[in-house]
Amino acid sequence: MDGTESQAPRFHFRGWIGVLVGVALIAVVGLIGFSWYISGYNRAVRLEQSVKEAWAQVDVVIERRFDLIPNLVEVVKVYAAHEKEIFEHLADARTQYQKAQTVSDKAAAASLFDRALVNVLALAENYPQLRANENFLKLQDSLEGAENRIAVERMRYNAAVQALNTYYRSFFGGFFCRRAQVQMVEFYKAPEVKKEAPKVKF
Amino acid sequence: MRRLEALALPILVALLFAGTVRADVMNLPVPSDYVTDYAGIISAPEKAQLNGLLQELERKTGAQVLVLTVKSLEGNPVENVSLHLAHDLWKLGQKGKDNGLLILIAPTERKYRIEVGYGLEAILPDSAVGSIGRECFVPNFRSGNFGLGIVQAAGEIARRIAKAAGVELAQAPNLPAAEPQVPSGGNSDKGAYLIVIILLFAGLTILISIFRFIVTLLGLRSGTASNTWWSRLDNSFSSGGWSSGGGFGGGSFGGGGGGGFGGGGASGSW
Repeated sequence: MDGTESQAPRFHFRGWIGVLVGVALIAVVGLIGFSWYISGYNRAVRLEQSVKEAWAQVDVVIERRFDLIPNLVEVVKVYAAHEKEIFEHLADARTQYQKAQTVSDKAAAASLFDRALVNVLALAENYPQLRANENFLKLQDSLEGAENRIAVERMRYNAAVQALNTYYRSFFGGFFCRRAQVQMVEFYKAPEVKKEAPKVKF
Repeated sequence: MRRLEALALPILVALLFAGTVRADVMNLPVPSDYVTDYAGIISAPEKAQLNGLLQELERKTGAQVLVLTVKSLEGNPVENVSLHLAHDLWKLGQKGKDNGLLILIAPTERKYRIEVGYGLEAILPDSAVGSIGRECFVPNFRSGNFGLGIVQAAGEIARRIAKAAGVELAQAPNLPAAEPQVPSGGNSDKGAYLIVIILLFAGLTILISIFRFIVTLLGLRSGTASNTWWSRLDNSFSSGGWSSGGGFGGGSFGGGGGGGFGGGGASGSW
């Protein structure tokens, strides 16, 4: 009788510890799970944000190239005023780009511009005075710079897209992306004609 | 005998690797000087002149301008090489200011490129850089005067950067009258500029000291915490952002500052 009485408090104490440990364990597991969930969700959001920023950069450099058109037209017109068609193609390409919404539409419009531009620069072959004109040469530098910038931003955009799409397709990544309402994104793929773009050297 | 035989294979492998690692233009190590001449086309006095000029430029404006000549582009377009080295690997230019610039010359392929960082694009737009290349590089390189061409181009670039930063470089060499330049003002102008700059420095130093005092007073600054914005600000001001701080010896480059490049600049061939 003495034995059972002295045992009773010890038994409760052990039980109380057990409950405490159990609760603590659940809390820790819960916390870990919670922070895992948050980090996965945030990662999806971060990757999407990187893609958006990278696309904004692509847009900026393409627009900068379009901004060079009026200057180009002014300089070339002096020597080749009757070649109006070519200038119209340039303007059309710009309008088309501004109307385009999706990445592939924009890529297509941008490459239209390339084709028109190649024609304009080919003009210089027929007009030697153009070739020697310092303004024309400076414009060429600007155009080449614009092309290079576009190439660089496209490459960085595609890298960001790659990171996002890979995460989306990874084991838990897709789950987090869907929770964060993040979709896979298209790459910027230019039609092949771009490769012959305005690096016409005289 | 056995020990030698055991060493033979690892040595062979090491030699193989040594060969492949050395010939990789996309993985060149960060230079320790402003001028790195793998192609061996710049003479020693020209190298010294360039080092002096570019070191003064960095000291006075923070802009990191480097010259690199390579033996071969190894099939890569010159734009890819310069961007990869300047932006990805070496990160020329100060972080946030992006004032880096790389001059790359590849005599084997007869190509050059001047790669301009984001922060310098306003001062050195593509057309300006293209003109510099056409005027300084092409005629000189065609006649074999590589060093001279590079010195002229670097001088012009340094002069423009310095002008935009409002400082004067003692070492910017003279260009033959190629581009119409607005002549820098006479002595009176220089004096005025100097006074203004000194006053600005003084004012800023005072402001910073007051700021630091307040921050310490509020107990917000603790020893070497380097992650908070006020200590970062503090650190950047006290560790040589303004005057000739930093540990650069004669002509030695201290490494890239984390700047970025967007593909601006100009390339050409001769």
